[in-house]
Amino acid sequence: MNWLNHSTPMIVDPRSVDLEDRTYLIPCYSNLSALTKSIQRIGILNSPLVQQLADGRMIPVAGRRRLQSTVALGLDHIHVRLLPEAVPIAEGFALAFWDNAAHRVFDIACTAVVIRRVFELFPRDVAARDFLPILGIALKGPRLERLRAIGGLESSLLEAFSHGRIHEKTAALLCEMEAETRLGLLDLTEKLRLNANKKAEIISWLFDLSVLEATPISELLAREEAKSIIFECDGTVPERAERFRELIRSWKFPELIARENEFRDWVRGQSLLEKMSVQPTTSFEDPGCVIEIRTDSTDEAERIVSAVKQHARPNQ
Amino acid sequence: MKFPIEQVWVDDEVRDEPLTREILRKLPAARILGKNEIEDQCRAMEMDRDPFNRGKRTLRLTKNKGAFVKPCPGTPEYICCGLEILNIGQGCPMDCRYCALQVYFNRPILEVFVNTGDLFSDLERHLINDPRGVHRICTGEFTDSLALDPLTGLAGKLAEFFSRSTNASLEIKTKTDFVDPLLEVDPHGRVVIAFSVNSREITRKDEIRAAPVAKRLAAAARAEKRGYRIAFHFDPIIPVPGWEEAYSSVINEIFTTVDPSSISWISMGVLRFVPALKEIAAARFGRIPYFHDGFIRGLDGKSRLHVDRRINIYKYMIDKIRRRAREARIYLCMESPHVWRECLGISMDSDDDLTSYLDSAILPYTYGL
Ligand code: SF4
Repeated sequence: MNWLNHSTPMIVDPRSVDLEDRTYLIPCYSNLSALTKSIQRIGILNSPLVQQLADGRMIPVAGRRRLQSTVALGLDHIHVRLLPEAVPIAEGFALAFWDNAAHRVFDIACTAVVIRRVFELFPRDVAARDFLPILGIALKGPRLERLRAIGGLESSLLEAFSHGRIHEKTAALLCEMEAETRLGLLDLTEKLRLNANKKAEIISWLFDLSVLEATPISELLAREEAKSIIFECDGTVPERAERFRELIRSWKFPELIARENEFRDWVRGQSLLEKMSVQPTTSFEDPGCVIEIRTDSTDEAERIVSAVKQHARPNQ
Repeated sequence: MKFPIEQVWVDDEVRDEPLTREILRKLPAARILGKNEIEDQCRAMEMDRDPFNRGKRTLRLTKNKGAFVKPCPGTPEYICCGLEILNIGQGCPMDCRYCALQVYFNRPILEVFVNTGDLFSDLERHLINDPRGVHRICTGEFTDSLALDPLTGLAGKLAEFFSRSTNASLEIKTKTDFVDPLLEVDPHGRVVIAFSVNSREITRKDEIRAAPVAKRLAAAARAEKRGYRIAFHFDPIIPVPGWEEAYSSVINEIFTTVDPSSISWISMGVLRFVPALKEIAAARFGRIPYFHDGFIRGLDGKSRLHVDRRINIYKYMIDKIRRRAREARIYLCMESPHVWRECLGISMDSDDDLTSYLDSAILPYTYGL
């Protein structure tokens, strides 16, 4: 049935609509300002769709952002269409979905929320037939499950995901943590102004350490060395961020970091020329090194090569 | 039969193979499916949240249309041992939580190649056409060599074949104790039964449906008595807390059970894995702490522990083994010349070096016989 045909026009105070209600939520994490400006200029072309529940509460079905904008503009009345209370939630959600799908591209965070809700409301075959193709997600494979889990994250995390401040893999790992822990981690890594790649490293290392040592992340972060960086007032944010990253890295890869420090000290002791550098093999897999010498000319390179040859001969 | 097989998918072209009939006779309770039903089952399996669970109870009887003998897919970054793989099928009814096969097969059913006539002629052709040195051939690369043997009875036939071969030896690699049918064959030292072993804790928690270590060792003792050469693979070594005592105790048990002179080789490999395995295993079994250790990307793209840590682990294990068997032929699986030198004091600079090192273990039983 097309329930839209059974909706009735009415005028409501937008502040009386419960905009926090998530029954039909299809989120959008972009800024409201353009829409607000547009409403200010030309008003609302398509009336939002709302539903009145048995307890008298009015909730948004489609057009939540239009309602949010009118609230932001301080309007006290708005034309809406009222959906009968009898409309099943699944059908109301389908209405909201198709209304959104018609005029916007879902970003990945929105897709995750929609997938989660679709699987709550519809059988798997209906989800596969009616929704996933529009969302561009394959019905099988780990990605579907990952997005489904991500769809249940708190809105601040979903917003960070939507804006590319955390990667999909990071979001998936955060799903395995307690809400307090993941929100704390987002807060911490954002305060340290880490980009998505660095957040991914730090969060995955902390997660690994927590699983390996069977220790909550909060306890790892409560260690003195970590606390002193997190709560320190000295030093710039990028410096503290780098020290924090190095600290967690040293917990995760102690042998590698010990070797790096040893190697750095050794290189320092060599008093290399400015144009020279010595690099170890990847992760010190073997004791070899690569020496790099920059030259200003092929003549200079030739002189260096012949000197190296002279030097290497006795050992051959 | 130890492992439950609920469905048997029979490809049309192998319906009349003798081994097909033999296997179906041994599985009277299983549902036998033909072409159309198989396609439906494939689709259902793809939708399954854990296709492995279902796949490990599904046996497909099929034909190997390619070569049966292939070189082991080593990696150029590390030293490989020159083993050749005799492909008898793929998939495994056991379910080790660390098993690499979880990444490689997207339709994770058990497959047995029932065209064994082709297998033996291919094998014969291979050994005649390539008479270089000796061939070390193994059946347990994409499956466990003996897990499905109670159904196929192939291992005994292969043992018989190799017992007559003068330029090849067969390595049967297993985590089962299904050696008894093999005891009817005198292998003339040309068949090595290799047991993958691990610490008791890992075996109990991680090697689901595999035989306990004690049973594997008892099987090793029976096989040794019948004249089989024995080998042990400590792979993967997983350094969870307390690993030193745990592995020491298994090493001691080995040498209490089997005479060192019967052991052809002992291999070792610290846990390494393609990065995807960590998440696949987590999705199937929940988070497994050891996958979250300090793994870094190795030269071959696999996740490996830092080289210093691997060296320490190998040195410890080697010391324990050498105390019980001074002359044991120990080799490292997929390690660099540097690790070889550090751990065993051996210059193992190329695949050829390692090939000769291992070939020397079987030479006395082939040409030398
Ligand atoms: S026995 Fe070998 S092949 Fe079978 S599940 Fe275990 S590791 Fe994988």
